[in-house]
Amino acid sequence: MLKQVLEEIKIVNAPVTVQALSRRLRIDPSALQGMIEFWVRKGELRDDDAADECAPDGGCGSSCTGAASCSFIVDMPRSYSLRL
Amino acid sequence: MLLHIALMGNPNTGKTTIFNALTGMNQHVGNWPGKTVEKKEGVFTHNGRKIRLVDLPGTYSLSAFSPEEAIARNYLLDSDLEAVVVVLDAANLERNLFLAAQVQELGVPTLFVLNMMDAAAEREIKIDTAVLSRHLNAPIVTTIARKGEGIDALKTAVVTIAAKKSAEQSILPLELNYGSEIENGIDELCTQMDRFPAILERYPARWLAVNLLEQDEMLQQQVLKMEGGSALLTIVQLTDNRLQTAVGEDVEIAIADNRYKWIHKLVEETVDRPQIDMLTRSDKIDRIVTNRWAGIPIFMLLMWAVFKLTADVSAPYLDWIGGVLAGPVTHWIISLLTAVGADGTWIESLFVDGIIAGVGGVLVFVPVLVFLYLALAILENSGYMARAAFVMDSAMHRIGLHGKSFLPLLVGFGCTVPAIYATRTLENEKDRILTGLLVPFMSCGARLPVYVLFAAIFFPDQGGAVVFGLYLLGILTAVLLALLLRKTSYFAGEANAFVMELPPYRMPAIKGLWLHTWVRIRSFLESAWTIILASSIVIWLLASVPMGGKGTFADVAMEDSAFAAVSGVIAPAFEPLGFGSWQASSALVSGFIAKEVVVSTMAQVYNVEGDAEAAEFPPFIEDVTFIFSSFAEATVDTARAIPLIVGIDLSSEDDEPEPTDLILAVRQNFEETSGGRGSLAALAFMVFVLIYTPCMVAIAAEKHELGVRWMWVSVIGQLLLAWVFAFIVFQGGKVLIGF
Repeated sequence: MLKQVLEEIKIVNAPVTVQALSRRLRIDPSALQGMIEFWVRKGELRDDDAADECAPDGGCGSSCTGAASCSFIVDMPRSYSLRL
Repeated sequence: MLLHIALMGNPNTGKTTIFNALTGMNQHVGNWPGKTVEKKEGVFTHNGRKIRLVDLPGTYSLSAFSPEEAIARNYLLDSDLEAVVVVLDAANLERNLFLAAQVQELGVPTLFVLNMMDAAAEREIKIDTAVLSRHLNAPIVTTIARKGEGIDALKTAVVTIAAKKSAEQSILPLELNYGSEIENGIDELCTQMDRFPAILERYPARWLAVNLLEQDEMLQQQVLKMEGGSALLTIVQLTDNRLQTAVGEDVEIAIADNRYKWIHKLVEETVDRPQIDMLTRSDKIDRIVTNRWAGIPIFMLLMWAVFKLTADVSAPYLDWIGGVLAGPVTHWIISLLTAVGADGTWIESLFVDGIIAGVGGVLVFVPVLVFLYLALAILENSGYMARAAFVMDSAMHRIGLHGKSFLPLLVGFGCTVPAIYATRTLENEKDRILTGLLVPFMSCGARLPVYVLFAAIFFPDQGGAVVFGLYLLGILTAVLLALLLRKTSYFAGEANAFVMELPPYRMPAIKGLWLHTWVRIRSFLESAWTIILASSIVIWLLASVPMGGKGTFADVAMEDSAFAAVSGVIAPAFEPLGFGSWQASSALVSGFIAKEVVVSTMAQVYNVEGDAEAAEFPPFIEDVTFIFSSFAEATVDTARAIPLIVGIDLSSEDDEPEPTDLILAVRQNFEETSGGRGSLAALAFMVFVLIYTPCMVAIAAEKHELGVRWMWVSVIGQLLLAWVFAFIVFQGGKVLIGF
């Protein structure tokens, strides 16, 4: 099941919602969420919101103290990218 | 005897509600030792037994990847517990069962609480609790904690299971089957562990073997510190290597996969639920708004409505603030200066021609931004903006950009600076640089006052369409540039896929809308009092210095000032674009600092002496009455302007406001520099403002995020593009409409 999730994301090779993936794999969305987070821990997927906290060099934005804390940041849903 | 019980569960399962229902007011709140994670404890008595209940942090597993998981796991391992109560969300059982299975594998006496049974019933989910209880090897109680239902039964069950432990009745841990090869490996490890009694004193053998094979780093560190720990870890490593060859994959993945399979099978056996592919109302709406073909037109239509609302409906409030600043505020400041004997001096000039004209010229546009941010907040809080991001992500992907690029681009409509920082969500450096180069083409909120001012002067009947067109042009420029740059060898490459979690649709709450709008407006007002105020004073200072021996300090015609002389040097560069005057040049130069300053500079350089110089001001009370009565008029006019969004004009010709001196001066200036094609020159000017460098802070952000080289590419590229686009608009427009 776990490998199927990762493989399906690779096969789709385009943005996909958790809901659509859940229907495609016939896995409950809440369980799918847990599986996605497993792959984040394994380093196959990347939690994009966690990446928002700090710059790649570990430093945070000078004038906006990190994009996530800025008032102009649009409240966006959580997303996970395939690691290259 | 005090019975010791731990309460745990996934986040959002109603665990806190259950804790409160059980303990009432007998609670103590503190922190876990050495952590910032909150620790809650409470006491309750039931059937003559006193229970100490410890609320563990909400966790999805016991794998110790987060501080919360580590706290929960260590507490279960190290505390002398009578039992643990695990709260499960009945409506999302499958995910919750992961933690449930791990707790049962640990072999702690457990009571499961199936909470939120009402939410499960609403979703037509039926759970066979008897079969579930048998498979989990633990009793189950059902509750609807927020209504207090099932709490008494829960208390009784807690006392029963706690008494069972205290009576030393053995509890068998749950043993999941991880497949023959892994099971053999686990058995071997358990046999080997007999050599390490100190370790087995703390950890159950099978649980330890499974978790070490799952490469639990925190557990490895804890074992390493114990007697024989190093030897045990070496044995585990050898077993892991052998198993990896035998099962043909990572043992950790194989174990987790088997656990998920067991859970999935258990759910299939015990839960009767609608088909996963049955569409909810949210799914049905999504089928339309995220449709491959309809999604983008729907997004465009909504954005058009937003800009129509912003440009047309907010206009009466613009007039109101303008009237208040030019009337009562100016009257009061001059009266105050007169009272201290500073009237007619450079101080009066600084306040009236510098600060009020400059800062006031920008503050006038606050209502425009209020309407823009309010409309965007409605789209965000309703859940639509997430869909828009998804729809546009798909489009981005099709043009070779990373889907995630749309998020920074969307943020760019508010402010370029955080949008550049938001490019961090892209993992690949080239994707990040490419998106960072495109972000400035998204028209930020600070450019809006420029568009609204020029649209009001030159396109009074098509203001909304012009503003929308400019936003669209910014997007198209970014798209075309992306396509072009992706063709270069440096940026060529495949965009990677991603998964997005769409929130359910919801009715936006008034408080949330206000909060979203206010924090953004406050940010704009803060810049008004810092950057714009400072720029206005610098411009006033330059405009007060006479050149060519005409006039004296603070008493010189604007065209004879140092500011006009400096701005006049670069004005010829803009002649082919139709706005080669020193006034337009000065506004564009100061716009490098911030786009809000473009309008404030114009308000200063086109400042025409008005009523402020009149000797007699109306009485104070009359000014106050004017503020309130004109506000009421603006509100009525705004209400009448709302139907404009769908093209219905309820205003009569009598309602048309008289053009202000600023409008007349700008119109005349652009007509003169463009040979009578003022509208075309104004359009070229707006396009230039859209494309060229957003502000100094954005340049600093580009340097920080993209590096010095790409910062210069961006700044110079935007200037060149702005010039070329404005040239095409003006010269092309002339060709189209005939010389």
